[in-house]
Amino acid sequence: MQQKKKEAEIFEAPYRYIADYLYSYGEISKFFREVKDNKQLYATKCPQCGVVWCPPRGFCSHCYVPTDWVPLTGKGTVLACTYCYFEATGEEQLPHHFDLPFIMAIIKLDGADTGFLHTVRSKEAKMGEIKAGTRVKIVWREPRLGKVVDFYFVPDDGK
Amino acid sequence: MRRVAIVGVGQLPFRSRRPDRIYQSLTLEAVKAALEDARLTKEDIELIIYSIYGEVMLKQQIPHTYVHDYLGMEGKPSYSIKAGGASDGYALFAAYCHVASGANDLVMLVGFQKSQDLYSSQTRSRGDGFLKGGAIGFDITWQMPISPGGVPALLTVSCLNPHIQRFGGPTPEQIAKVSVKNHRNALVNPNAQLKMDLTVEDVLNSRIIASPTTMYECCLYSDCASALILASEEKAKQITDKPVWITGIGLANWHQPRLEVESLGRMKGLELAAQRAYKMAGIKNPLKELDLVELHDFISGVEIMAYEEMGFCPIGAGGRLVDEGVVEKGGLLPVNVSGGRVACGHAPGVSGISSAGDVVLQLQERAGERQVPIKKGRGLVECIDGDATTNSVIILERKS
Repeated sequence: MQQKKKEAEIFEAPYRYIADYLYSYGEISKFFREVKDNKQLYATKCPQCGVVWCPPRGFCSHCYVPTDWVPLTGKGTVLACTYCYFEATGEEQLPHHFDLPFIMAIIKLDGADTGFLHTVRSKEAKMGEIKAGTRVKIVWREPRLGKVVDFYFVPDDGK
Repeated sequence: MRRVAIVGVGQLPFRSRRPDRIYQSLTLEAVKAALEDARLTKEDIELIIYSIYGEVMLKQQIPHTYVHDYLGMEGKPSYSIKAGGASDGYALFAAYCHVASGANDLVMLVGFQKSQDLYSSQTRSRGDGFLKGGAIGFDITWQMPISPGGVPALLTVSCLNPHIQRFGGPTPEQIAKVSVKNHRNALVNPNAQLKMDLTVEDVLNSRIIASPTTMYECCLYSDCASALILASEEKAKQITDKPVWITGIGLANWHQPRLEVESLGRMKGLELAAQRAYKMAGIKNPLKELDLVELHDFISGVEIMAYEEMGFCPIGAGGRLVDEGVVEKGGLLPVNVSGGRVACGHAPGVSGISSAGDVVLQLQERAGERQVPIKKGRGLVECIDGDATTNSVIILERKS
């Protein structure tokens, strides 16, 4: 009873913290400009060790030297994936909605040495349809905002 | 380096929400419990190190300064350590270093976190509010916009599933058995948040969150605080006849989301952290030289991966330890006797401090109904980040 009485006395107030940002992509600006304007994926290559980074890095994390831009085809292979039946987060201001289940995947883009975390969509999203080894290709959205959600991947049927 | 002991434990129950406490008073209760346990007063403490995971969740920048004031610790120095979900382990390392170096004789380590003050007005759910607020921990440019499934999905796709592909296990049944074990262990832990006697079928048939991870294989979120008091050898012997010594401590970062192809399906940072802790403590065969382990089962599948990375068995053989009952409460090496994060509860930055407290109580044989037999006098605490980016392993011993 004592506990119940205490809880009844608790007062709760709403609070919302809003911070607007206009942030710079710095030396990787080219990646998002090419995504937005030219539907073209780019990676960066280290001139010293040759590692190709995607997501791109303006400096190689192994050699600390500035990297060079290299274009990618937008095709790749799924290294691992999971079917997600739970959506809680996501950016409110994005126009793109995640239908359940959506498939989160680590994709090795052709020509890159790192895994790229992204989403794969398929019409039926049948469990097991997308798996390690599945070939995928990029699909561009309209309109594009210069964000990582401006594109997604679908199974590559070879057409 | 001087020897360092834990001489006081302050634990609070894990609860999904504590609307009856502000974070300052929640912390005070844990601090008070630790001081009482060590029969010390706040005047005896020279320095406080705070472990804080998320300021967004506390709706407050530099929250430790407000807590420090509330605790009446004016004049004493304090700072906070942030290392993601392993803030607790990293903060323990900092506290250890203060005493081991001779800079301080009595240091308090305090973790506090509220998770469920966050609220989604869209879905009217505190859980959704928390997951959304917590998503700011993801890389804002590359991960957050495409990770609406939260950490369970990220951990499943970057660790568990590539592991299953590379090494052929663990199986869904083995993962579910770990969840069942931890829920069963929580039944006799008064601090546990969720008390459910589950079967393997219950776990496998619960909602899929991110395949193959099901709802009962995902950790809870809690409002909680916890404290420990660390002392130099001279002070420790004055305070207690049952000091528990920190004899090994290892940390390692391995940025999992970098996803370099060759490390997929492994938690290389955890392997390194464990090797460092074992080297320091002189442990050759952890499976046979430890009495118990408390570890971060953010999802149950990762508990099995942790057995492997910490050398309890070869990589890929963790599922066998589950099938053979090795990690059960009555087994050779009980793991998560407290109930783990899936059943005891999880307040990031606090859980590891509470886990270290659990191992201390076990080694001192005052863990009540959840007590396991202590034959080797040694336990292990593992605290890692949700995606295994920050990793810490701590070895505790009751005599040496």
